Amino acid sequence: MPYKIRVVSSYIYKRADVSYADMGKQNRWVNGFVSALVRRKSGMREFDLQFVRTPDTHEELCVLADEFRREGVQMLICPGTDSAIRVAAAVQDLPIIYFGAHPENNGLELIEQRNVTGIRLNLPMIWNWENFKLIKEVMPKLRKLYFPLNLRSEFAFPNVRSNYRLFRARGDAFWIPGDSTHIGYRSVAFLADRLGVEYFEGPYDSLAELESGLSQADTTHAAFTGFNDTVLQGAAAAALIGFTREHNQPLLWVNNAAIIQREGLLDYSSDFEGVGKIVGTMALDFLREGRPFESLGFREDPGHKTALSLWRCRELGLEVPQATVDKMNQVFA
Amino acid sequence: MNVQKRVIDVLITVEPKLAEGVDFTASTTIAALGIDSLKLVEVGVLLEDAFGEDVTFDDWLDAERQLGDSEQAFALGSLVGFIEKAVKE
Repeated sequence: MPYKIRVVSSYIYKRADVSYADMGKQNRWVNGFVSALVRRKSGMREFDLQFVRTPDTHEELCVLADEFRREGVQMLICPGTDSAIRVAAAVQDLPIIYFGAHPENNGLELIEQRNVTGIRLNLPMIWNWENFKLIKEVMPKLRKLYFPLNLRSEFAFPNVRSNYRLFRARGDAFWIPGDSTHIGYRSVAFLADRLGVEYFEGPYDSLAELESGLSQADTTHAAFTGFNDTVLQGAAAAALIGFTREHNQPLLWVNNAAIIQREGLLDYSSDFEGVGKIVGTMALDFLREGRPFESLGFREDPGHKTALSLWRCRELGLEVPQATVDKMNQVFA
Repeated sequence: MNVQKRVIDVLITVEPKLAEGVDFTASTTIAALGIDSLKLVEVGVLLEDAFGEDVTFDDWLDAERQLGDSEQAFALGSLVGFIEKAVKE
């Protein structure tokens, strides 16, 4: 009997032709997963692995979970913290292995749930100074760094959301400056300050609000950053990409080299192929070797990769030193 | 190394029912062999393991996707030719 696993992901898209739809294929976590099976003399013939998009509501998730139980699903894999938090809220019995980031440790209480374990990803752009300062090596004249943040994603953690609510209630502006007490991610503000750039967070609740916010940004020597929360709403990703193209602005991304390959400048991604190998190993340990789920243990990030688009550098008039180009794991010419 | 034989061996490893009297020709497609997208990932992993870093399976997949809905897309002959070329270079 094949082992029944369902991958419940917020990153499955109805449209296959948009740049962010390739995220899963580009980051190769599935390749890593399969590679782990092959190493342990297993293969897809031993698995019934199906992919399901995370439903939009908790109620729909509960219905999906019931379906999984009826099918005899033995394990869930949740790529991404957003999916993991939402699925874990609806499922307390089926084992869940997830991989996702917890900026400033937000949401990490998830691993206290007995049926949840996985891999903690470090957001590679902000994880250390060496990574973060690459931004200025690529764009020496950078003065402003903008981070729009999707309030409808689980990345807007409750404490962050509360702080944003206070700022938004004032109705002053869209962008929260880095020295404001309402900043959600103080660590990024510190990094930006050290880099000598101004930092802004822009929480948005709708596409219209994002578009309005983008139009309020000062685009002189600026750059804009997207994350996994952006691609949770496809229109938001398209809006951010469209804005940076229209206004000839650098676009940075975290965990989506596929977007940078087609549209942007610089991506920082976790080593998802390495992540997939860990998930595959954990799955075999639990399902084939019979190891207790609680004994699998929460794992650390296996590493990260950077990707630079040289063609976008040329379009933006950026002359990136070869020493910086040589630091990149992937270069799109 | 007989590339074609190695490729067929990998396909049979991934999909064991192919060992039973399947006629592998140059024009046989991956889809016709019942290899779905996940098993195709496994084929790629096994081929990269077999032939080393000279072979990047994704490069072959990208090239075949350019053929669109053509009946020639993802054919065994193309895969074998791709690998033979890669290991020679």
